[in-house]
Amino acid sequence: MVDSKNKIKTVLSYSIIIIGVIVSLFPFYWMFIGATNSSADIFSFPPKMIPGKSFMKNLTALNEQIDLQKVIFNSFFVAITYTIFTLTISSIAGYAFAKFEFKGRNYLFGAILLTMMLPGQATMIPLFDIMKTFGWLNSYKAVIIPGIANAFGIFLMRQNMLKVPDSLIEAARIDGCGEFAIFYKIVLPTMRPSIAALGIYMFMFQWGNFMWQLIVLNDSSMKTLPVALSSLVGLSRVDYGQVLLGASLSTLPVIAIFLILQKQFISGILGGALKE
Amino acid sequence: MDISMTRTKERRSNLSSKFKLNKRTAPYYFIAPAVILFVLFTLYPFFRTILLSFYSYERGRYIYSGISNYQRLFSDAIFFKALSNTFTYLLIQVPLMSTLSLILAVALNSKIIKWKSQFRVAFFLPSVTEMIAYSIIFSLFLSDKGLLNYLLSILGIESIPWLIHPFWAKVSIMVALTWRWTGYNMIIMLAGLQGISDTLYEAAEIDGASRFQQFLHITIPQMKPIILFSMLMSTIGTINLFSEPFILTKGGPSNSTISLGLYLYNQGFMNLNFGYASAISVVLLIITAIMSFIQMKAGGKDNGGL
Amino acid sequence: MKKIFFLVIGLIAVFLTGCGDSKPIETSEITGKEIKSDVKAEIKIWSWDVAALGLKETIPSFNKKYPNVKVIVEEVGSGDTYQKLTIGLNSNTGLPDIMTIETDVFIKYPPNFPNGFYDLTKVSANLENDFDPSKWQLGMYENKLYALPWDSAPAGIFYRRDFFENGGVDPETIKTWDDFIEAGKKIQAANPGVKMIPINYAKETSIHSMMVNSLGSGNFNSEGQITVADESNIKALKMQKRFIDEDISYNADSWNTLVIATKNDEVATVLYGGWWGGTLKDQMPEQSGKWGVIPIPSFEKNGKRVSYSGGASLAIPSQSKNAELAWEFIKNAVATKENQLLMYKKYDLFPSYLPTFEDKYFKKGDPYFAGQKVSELFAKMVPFINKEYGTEDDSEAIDYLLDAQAAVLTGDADVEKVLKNAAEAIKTATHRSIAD
Repeated sequence: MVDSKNKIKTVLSYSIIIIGVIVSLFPFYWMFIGATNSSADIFSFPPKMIPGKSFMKNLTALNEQIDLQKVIFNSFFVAITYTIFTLTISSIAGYAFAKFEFKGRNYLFGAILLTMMLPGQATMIPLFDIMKTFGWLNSYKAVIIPGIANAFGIFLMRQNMLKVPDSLIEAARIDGCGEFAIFYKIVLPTMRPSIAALGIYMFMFQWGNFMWQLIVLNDSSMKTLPVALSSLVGLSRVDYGQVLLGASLSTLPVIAIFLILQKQFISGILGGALKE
Repeated sequence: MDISMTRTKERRSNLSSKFKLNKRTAPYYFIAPAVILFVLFTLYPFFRTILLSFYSYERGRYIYSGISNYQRLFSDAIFFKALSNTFTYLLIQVPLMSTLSLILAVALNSKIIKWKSQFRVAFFLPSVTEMIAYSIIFSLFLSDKGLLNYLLSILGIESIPWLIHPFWAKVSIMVALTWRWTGYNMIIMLAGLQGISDTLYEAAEIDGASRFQQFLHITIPQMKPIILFSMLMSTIGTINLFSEPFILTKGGPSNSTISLGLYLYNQGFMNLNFGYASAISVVLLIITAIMSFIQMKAGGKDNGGL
Repeated sequence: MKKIFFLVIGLIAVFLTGCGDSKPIETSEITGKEIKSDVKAEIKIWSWDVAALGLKETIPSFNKKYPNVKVIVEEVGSGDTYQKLTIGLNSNTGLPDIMTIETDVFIKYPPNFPNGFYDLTKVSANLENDFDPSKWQLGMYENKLYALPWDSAPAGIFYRRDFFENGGVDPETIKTWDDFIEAGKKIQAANPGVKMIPINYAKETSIHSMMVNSLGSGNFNSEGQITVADESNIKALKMQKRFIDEDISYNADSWNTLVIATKNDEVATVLYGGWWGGTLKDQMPEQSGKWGVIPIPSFEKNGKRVSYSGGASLAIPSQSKNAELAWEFIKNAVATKENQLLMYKKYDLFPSYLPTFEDKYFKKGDPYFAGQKVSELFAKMVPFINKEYGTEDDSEAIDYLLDAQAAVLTGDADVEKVLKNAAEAIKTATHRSIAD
């Protein structure tokens, strides 16, 4: 009796999951297939579901239109630089909010949280004006710096740092450790999972920060991958094979990073331990 | 001589101790970079937007117009459509997706399942899809001659006017949103599930509770903070919804799918009514704040120590 | 902490007071003054896909006159162009020397950004009669020219010869929309699964605009009054409703759907600008020889059978530091027979520069269209395209017009009523008056 119940449960669970996986992955499959087909083929009805022969053709054509190497490098450079800066600033600010008492702490934290609710489109124009005033337009500074004080990042870090035992910090103080050293040598190492999680989030965010990058960068030598791809979607002649190939390429890095840092990501979200 | 020198030294060291990095001053130094950046690049544009909402952009100049933008908003039919669409998405898609995420998480968490990591990656992928790819793929899938209708035709079902008919267009948006974010939320839920101690379940088992009762009385209460967190994030995301309507339907047909975020964008970038667009932003912010407040209150105090 | 708080508020206040009017830019005019041919400079141009390629082709001829000028053509997607344009004009920075802008979208920028573009009136005075009159008009604001026309997009009915043959319909007999509807019924009867004409019911007003233009009207009249509820607009919308009632139309809800349907032999005609030929050749090369083109039908017997759909112009943002050189480049690219012909031959960008049509290339038959002299047909239309009067409220007007169109074509709304409501809504939003 118990066995058949278990069997049904197993089958049911697996079915739900597998359907979910197919639904999640199918568009990717289709995108990769599209990358190997010519534009005309992508439009055929019934739709083509098997790899085509145009991969190399699409690759060469795509590379002619947009300098693939440069553009991918730019995207990485921007995303990684951004991630490093954000992690640094978010973690140290999060630590301060979590472990210190100071005047106005709660109000400030509340204000920061409030801005998580701001729609991005709203502040684009004033922000662009500021970039212009500072003379940062058409440079990576404009892409990276405004977003570094990331409300979500500070929030996440603060939540996770709340769990660091006060006694640990006090002991270090008694031992004569400087405040920054406490942060750097004692607290931070315990935050690895959170840092990994936040790092993935921030990388993902900047990698796909298409609109802002589009608006702020003008030189084609500075373009990032999504911006370059967008320039391929013209008025009436779109080579979808090329575009899908470019899109496939742009998805790969994030997939890779997630694959490598999965566990940390998950535990970091909770600030808790991961049971496997 | 000696005494005065000591006094000077004391005075100097008093001054420098004010700025030295110690337990008292540390927090200020630590939050300084974040706060400076925050004030410059988040707070200032935010206040400026609020200010601009009281102006009207005409022929290249900002003219003070008091609350006329807000008055216009209250008689703007498209604004109300955007509002109603947003609430439709909120009331239908968010709970549906959260439920789906929870079910998937419970299924994946079951001890009998192998290859957990691999499945996790598969579910997470949709949330990292690049915008352009996502837009092309889904608009092709949902077009009249697209993949979805093809699959339906194989099953003998008539083509659905996914992006053509106002009702189905809304459905399409919700389908796209669900595809994109369910896995992401599932992973959050999964982590939450794994944080529930086994002893709770064992105790309930001993007391004779059925699986379902255990789910109701242990899983859900334990998961409350996580579920609330996930729903809160989804709510904020939905109220600010922009990409899906922008990419798939441009708000149509007949503004049946337009969101507040898209309407704001259209007014600002298409119609060049910057003052009006700013007013919409302010309203959007107020709505988000209210909804978040309601959710947090409904969730009770135990919510991450906020 | 209180001190810091007030400091922050103070800073913000200081910033905020520096808002309001941006400094007015001086009126910039191109004078056409003599430029030394050995001048050293760099000009940047924004354009998209084949348009960009076309412009690149004109660079050698430009460099013959100015060998030390480097011309860089940057690819910016057509959608992205407008975002960058709005922000660039707003902040008076970040724009290139020359911008490609769709002609009927351009018109909303000069009024909203006074002196955002260079005034080309003086140096283009002698060119006016050599260009497509409708395009010229749309580059003007307050009697000054701010954008020079580049390519025209004369409208035509692209039709499938084989489907028409099966239905026993001679395309030459279609002169009015009534003829078109009758033909449609016959053709659909003889070709199962084929629809006569695709229209995007709820997302685009291109067909409506083509019809209205052929009747001599538009969204606004020459005085800037709202005309969306006038006779022409009513006629056009009623005609589209008739297509649905007579069941000869197909809802092509997106560009993709249109292409797929065409590719899969499901439409007998496509009503669009001349550039659709390029799309056909690109995406459906296998259908070569099966297509032909006829002028769009008229509403009344012997009515005008000419309209347009699309096309772009070139403008010089006032931020440009090389405006005079930019003008020379534009002149060379689109106001010379050689270059317009080159761009047409290679990329199907139909010239708006009328003298180009004198070339014998326009007498050639096009194999894709079974040898029909399509170029000649379109060339004949261009000089007669009706002028249209755009305003800075065009995109708002189109929003409401689209709503009205959707209500009629996908619902059961009364044409006159919805158009009237649309006109009222536009009036409220833009403070313009409605034309009687």
